[in-house]
Amino acid sequence: MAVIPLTIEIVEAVEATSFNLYDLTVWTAPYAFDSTKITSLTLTLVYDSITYTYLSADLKAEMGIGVTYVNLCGAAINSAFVVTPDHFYDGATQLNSTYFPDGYYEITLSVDHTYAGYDTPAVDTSHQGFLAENYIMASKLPLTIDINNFDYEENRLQFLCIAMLRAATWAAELGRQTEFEEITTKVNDFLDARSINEIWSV
Amino acid sequence: MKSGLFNITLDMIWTATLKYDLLNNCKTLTVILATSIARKLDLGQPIDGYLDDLYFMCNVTFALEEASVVLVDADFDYLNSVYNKIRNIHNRYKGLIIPAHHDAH
Repeated sequence: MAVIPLTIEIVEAVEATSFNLYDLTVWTAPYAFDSTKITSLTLTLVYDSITYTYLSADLKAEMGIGVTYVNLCGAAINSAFVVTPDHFYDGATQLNSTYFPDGYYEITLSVDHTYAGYDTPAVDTSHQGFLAENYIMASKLPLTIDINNFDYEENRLQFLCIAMLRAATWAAELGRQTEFEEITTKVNDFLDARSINEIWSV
Repeated sequence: MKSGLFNITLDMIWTATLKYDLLNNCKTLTVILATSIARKLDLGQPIDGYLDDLYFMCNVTFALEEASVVLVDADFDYLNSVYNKIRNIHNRYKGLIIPAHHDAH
């Protein structure tokens, strides 16, 4: 049996209140996109070694998948489904009511379908480093400006902090969780040492 | 001329697959440089070689990630040569071993 090469993309909102789910799958014959052949969808994420499932009576209906759609997420090729954290549960435990905590995520979309000759479900997992709060914290780093005694070393280290955060994001995208955690631990130590407090995860 | 983790050849037609491989190569090297810095007990330790190259690789990776549609083959040749230069410096003189690429997205 062949496999439909499902491909998703995840983009976290700047203030971590949601993420956009994009469907980058090239739906082409013999599996051209046909909403009637999509039977159900399951969205899960792993955060801090706990698996959370998106609770919905009918995720297909919630995503609005119908005859006008060109992919799983909408009627335009760059359409997105906005996912909020309050829908994710591990049993009775909600991930969070308002924001996605910073950290390493494995987000998986599973699609049951009736395309003949293809395995069901079609599955794709996206590895993501959600760091919205850390980015905002890093943007608040103070640098005292004294033109007669400019602190070049501190200036370099503050630029370094931003570069480290970007590297952590890429580490997650490559599935390198260990490196992601090493880099973000160092960044948090750096921010703590400069008394930059958490913004929404206090 | 062969170079890079995926035997990317200079002066060649940059296919979508090769561009994707180069982007992942650059992300990998950036992560290794950042991890090397993170393992230092004190950021005040000498990190110049790592810091400057991390900045450089961040810019290269940004360019590939955000602006690849406006880049031409000669631009990819240049960015690939930058990647190889920094990678080789760290492999030869700083003891970093660039591991096999972990394919995920």
